[in-house]
Amino acid sequence: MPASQEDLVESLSRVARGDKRAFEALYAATCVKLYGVVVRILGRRDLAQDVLQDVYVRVWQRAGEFDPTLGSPITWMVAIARHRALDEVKRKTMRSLEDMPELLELPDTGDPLASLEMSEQRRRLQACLDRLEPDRKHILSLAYHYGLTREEIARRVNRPAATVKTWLRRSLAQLKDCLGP
Amino acid sequence: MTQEEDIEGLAGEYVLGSLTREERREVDARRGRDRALASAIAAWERRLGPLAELVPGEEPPAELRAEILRRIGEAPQANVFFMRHAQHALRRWRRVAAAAGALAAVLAVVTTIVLQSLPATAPTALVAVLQRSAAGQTADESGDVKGPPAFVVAIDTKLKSILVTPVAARAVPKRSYQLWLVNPNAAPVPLGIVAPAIATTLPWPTAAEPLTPAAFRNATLAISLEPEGGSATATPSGPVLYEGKPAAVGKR
Repeated sequence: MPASQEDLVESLSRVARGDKRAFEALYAATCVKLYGVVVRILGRRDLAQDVLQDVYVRVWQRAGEFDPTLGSPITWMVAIARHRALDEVKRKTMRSLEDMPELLELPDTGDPLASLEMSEQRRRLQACLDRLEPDRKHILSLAYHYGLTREEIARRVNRPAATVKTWLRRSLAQLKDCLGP
Repeated sequence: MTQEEDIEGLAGEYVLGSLTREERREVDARRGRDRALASAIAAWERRLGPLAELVPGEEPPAELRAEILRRIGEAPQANVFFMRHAQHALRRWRRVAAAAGALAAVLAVVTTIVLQSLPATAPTALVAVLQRSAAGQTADESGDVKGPPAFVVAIDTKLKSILVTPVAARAVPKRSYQLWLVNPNAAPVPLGIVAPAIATTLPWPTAAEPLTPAAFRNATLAISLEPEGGSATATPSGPVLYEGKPAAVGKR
C-alpha cells in the first residue's frame, strides 16, 4: 500500500542510520513502483531483477545523501533506479524494438482515474506537456519510459536523428520555460 | 551547432534517457567537475520526476526481497563502516600499500577517503594505487622507480562499484583520463572516463564475461590520456600515464 511521503522520509533517515527494519518497510512501500520503472526501460524481467537489486543496495548505501528539502523520497529513488537501468540498457549497442513486446505500450494519459491520483507536481508537468505538439510529447515519452536513444526514436517515428534531437531539445526548452527553474 | 553548448539540453536528454552510451559516459565523467552541468541534471531530475507516476507498477518476484536483504547485510554503509572499521582497515591496508611500494604517508589520507566506500570484510574489495609508469612503459616486476600515486581505484566486484579517487592528477585541457583493465593475453577493457579533481564512480563494465575477483588477480589498471571523451578505438590511443595492480583488502 502506498506509504505517505512523511513515512518514506522517516524510513530513509532510519535506513541512513543502518536500520534494516526501516529498509524492509521502504522496500515494501516502493518496490512495485521501482520494478515497474526498470522493467519498462529494460524490457526484460531477468535484467530488471538484477538491476533492482543493485538499486536497493545503492539506496541502502546512499540513504544518508537524501535531502528532503530537494525532493521527495520516491523521486530520489526513481532517479537512482532510472540511472542504473539506463546504464544497463545502453550497453546493448542496438536494441531491436521487438525486444519489448508487451511493454511498448505507452501509459494512457487520458485515464480519468489516473488523473485523480495525480500529484500537484505531476499536474503541472502534465499541463506543460500538453502544450507540446502531440508528436513531440510522444518522443519525450519514448525516451523517458523506454530510454530510447535519438537514433532508436528516429527509426520508430521515421525521421532523421538530427530532427529528433532538435525536437527533443526544443521540447525540453519549452518545458523548462513552462515549469520554471 | 553553435559554439555555445546547450548544457540544459544535454542535461535534459541525460535525465530523459535519449543519450547514447558514449554520451552518457561523457556526461557521467563530466558532471563531477562541471557544476553547471551537475545542477542542471539535478533540476531536470526534479522537473521530470513526476513522470514516474505514470509508470504502472509491477510486483517483483518475492525471492528478490530476500536476495536484496542478504546483499545489504554484506554491504555496510559508508558512515557506519567508517566509524567501526576505519582504524583497523587502515592499518591493514597500509601494509598492502607498503608492500606495493606505495607512499604510505600520502596514502593514509587518501585511504581514509577510499575506505569510506569499502566494506571491511568483503573479500570482493580491491584497491589499486595508480602511479606514473616509467615513460609510459608497462610496469614490470622489477619495481622500478615510480612517481607518487596519482589515482586510487577502489573496486568492489560484488557491489559492482568502481570508485576512482584522484590524488595528484592534473586536468589537461581537451583531454580525458580513461581507465582500463589490462589482462595479459586479452584486449584491454575500457572502464570509463575519470575526473582529475574529484572522485568518480564508474558504471560496471560490460565485459563479455562477468568480472569476478579472479578477473583482477593478474590484471593491471591503467590510465591513459585520451582525446576528450575517451579513446575513439577499443584500446588506449594516448600515452599510458599511470598504472597499478589491484590488491585485495579486508580479507579476514
